[in-house]
Amino acid sequence: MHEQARNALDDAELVRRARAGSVDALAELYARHADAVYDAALRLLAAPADAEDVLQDVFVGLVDALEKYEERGAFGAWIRRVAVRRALMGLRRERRRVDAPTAVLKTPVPDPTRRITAREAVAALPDSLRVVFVLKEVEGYSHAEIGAQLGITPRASALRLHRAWKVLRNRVGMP
Amino acid sequence: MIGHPSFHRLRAFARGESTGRAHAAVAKHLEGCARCRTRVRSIRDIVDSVRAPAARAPIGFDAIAARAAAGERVLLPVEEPRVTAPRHRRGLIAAAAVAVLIAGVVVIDVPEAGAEKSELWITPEAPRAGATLSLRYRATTRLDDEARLVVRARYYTADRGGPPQTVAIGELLRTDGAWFEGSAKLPDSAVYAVLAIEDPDADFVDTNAERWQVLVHGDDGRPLFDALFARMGDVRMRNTRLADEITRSMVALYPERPGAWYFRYGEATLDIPRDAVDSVRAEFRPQLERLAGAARMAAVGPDHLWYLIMFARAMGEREIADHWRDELMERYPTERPALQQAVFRAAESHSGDLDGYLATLDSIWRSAPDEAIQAAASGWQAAQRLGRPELLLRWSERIEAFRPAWAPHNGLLLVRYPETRAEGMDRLRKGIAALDAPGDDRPLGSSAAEYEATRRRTAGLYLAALGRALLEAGRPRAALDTLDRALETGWNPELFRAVADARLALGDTAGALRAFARFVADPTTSAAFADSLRARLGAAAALDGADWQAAVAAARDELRRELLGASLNRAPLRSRLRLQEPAGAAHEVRLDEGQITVVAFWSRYCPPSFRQLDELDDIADRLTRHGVRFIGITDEEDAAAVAALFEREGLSFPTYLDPERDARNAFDNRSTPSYAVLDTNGRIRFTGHTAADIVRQVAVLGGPWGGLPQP
Repeated sequence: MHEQARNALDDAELVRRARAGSVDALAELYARHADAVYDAALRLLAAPADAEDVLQDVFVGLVDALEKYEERGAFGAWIRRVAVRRALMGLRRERRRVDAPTAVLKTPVPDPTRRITAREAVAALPDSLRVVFVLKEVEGYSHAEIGAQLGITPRASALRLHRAWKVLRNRVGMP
Repeated sequence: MIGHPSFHRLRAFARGESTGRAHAAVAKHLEGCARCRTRVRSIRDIVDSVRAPAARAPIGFDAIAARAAAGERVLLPVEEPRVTAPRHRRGLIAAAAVAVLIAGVVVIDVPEAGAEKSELWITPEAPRAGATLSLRYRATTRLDDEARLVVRARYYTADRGGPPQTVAIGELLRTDGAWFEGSAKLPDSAVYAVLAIEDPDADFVDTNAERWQVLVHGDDGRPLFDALFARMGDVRMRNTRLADEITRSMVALYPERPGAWYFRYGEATLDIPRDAVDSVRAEFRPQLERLAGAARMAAVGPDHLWYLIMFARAMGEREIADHWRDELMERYPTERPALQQAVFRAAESHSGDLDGYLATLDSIWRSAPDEAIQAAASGWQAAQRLGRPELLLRWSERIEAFRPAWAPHNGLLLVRYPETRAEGMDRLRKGIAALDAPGDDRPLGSSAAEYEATRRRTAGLYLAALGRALLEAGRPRAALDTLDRALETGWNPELFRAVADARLALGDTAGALRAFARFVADPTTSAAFADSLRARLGAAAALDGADWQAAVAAARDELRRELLGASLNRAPLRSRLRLQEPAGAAHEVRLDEGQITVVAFWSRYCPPSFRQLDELDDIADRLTRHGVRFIGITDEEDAAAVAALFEREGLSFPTYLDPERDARNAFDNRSTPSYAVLDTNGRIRFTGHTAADIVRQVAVLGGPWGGLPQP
């Protein structure tokens, strides 16, 4: 496929071609959406290696997953939601047991001598708070949707958002 | 608006989530408040900064193409999880579930206690089925002035998955000092039982953390396999260490049973990293091969095959599992294990196709209606997800044939639809009648008062649902009578709101005012919500501010009378607690220091308790800002583990370890989640298991009332 022709195609046409087995179409979808998928996974997981795993898995599994894509909304939004769910699966596996003795904090410890950015402060939140914060404030999920994703009640989701903000306010020095 | 809006309100405003009066009030406040304007701007800046794209994919498409070219497949979670519709009646159902949960509080394992610890000596140590047990009991402080005590048992039969029964099985009489002696007869069908001792009126129950466990033994002197199975099912959610030990006993005593290896494998792989699973599998593979070989050589029953399949599946040996599944379904097509495997197969082959799944479940159920409990249960769940009333009714009837006690819960679901409203109302009426009659299903750890409170609360929820259904069925008079009966079952804000809505719909604004006032008066109702209700009611009834304030004040008096009238007034068994901070330092607490105090026992090993930690954290945050002392007590022995848990979960409420068992002995505490609220004189006024009740109880003792920010 020529570069110029590829750019002229919209996502819907690329999806149709990827479904039919076109590797070029898949490559073009990757070029257009890989950054957004990786960025969304990194926000949720705060671990570049884990986010890269999500990115790879999403695109390796994309052709099969497209069988269930109903083209009701923008492809970019759909693949991002799939990436979010895939990222959450990884988190759930890690946190399967609340008393897992090997649980290790993987969030970066901020350098106390410099002012922390909001993104760093979010990355440093505990998993349970960061996930709710990102799903609500960045991805725009409702508390009911977050509850369904995480297996918690909408109220628990609201409480975690409240706590996440409390921690963030302290860390970024909000008035 | 008095003072600054809460952060919660500012955030909702900044994110465009507030509406109506709440939005207008914040907007007006911002006009004159630079501090809050800065906060709103900060909230927006933070969100914008986190939302902004910042990272680029670190790899190219080549890596993807290489994995795909190698034939790798990845199954992505394409389906959106189903979101429970935020309908009012869902709240009632959830509350009913909570009420049922309260009755079955999960109990922690207290390794050893101090001077107040009770003892129960049980002989014989290896009883046979239906045995008479000789018992010798040294009473806990709360029971040592009784002349006669009752022995109750929660027992399990060989019917795996069947609900346990709880019955009185004997009595004890005082001999001398604090010792009691007597006997108790195990029910003939019991394979495993947990015992508890209580006074004849069941005012206090000594469960000793459910550690008095009896395993029925066979003629060969081994505990029955079913006894070990039942014990593991009983303890696994509250004591992972003990569950691990039980599965070790299972494989040591019953190495020929696939079930023993299936459970042992499950425990062995529970907490290990993913990359260590392969080596564990390698250790277990010879056992799987041995068991599969034995099954080929000799005729084995359906139960044996079922566990062989499950063991193989857990080990990732799909081919072996499929082979034995085919064998099971061919040899024993109408036995429960085969019917259950047929359901599992249907779930695999109809992923995402609920209608097709339900049609297959239907044919499984028709093949053996008296045995297909798994098909009935799975069909009932699928019908709920589909939300089609005729299917919900059909599958409700099928599951109720196996589990009659589920009928009232099904009633709550069925009354939502006009097509099945009559059947739903019928189930609710029967549920209410059963709760009106003397009950015989009191859970082992519940006192008579706790049991009665739970039954009243459940009856209230059924009555509220029935009242609303009557209203929708066009029978307003009967609806109001029913709703009034619901109100008699106790203070329940959810119920008040349901009644208020119903009365407003009927044009009874005075009745709605009283009910709404009770809802608003409750300290757990948010101020913003109270404002919106007042506006709604005011529009309907030309209500002035004085009427509303008077109604809310009267409702608060009513809550005060109701809670204080039924409150306790006893001193803790010790007033000084020697505790330990998670950081390691010793921490001494005096309970008689003139402060309202909440003592909350929690455990990360107890799922109901773990689920309440978020709410506990929020309540502690709100109450401590108003001068209430909050003391969390964990059963954890490892301080570093508590600190790590708090860091991981973002919790911050004051919590302590209890190495001397001071707190548990002071409150005679045996369970989690469990709370005690003490007044300013240091006396215990309330105990309970529901975090939301704490705010209400603290309020009537002089703590903060209403106006507390909600998240």
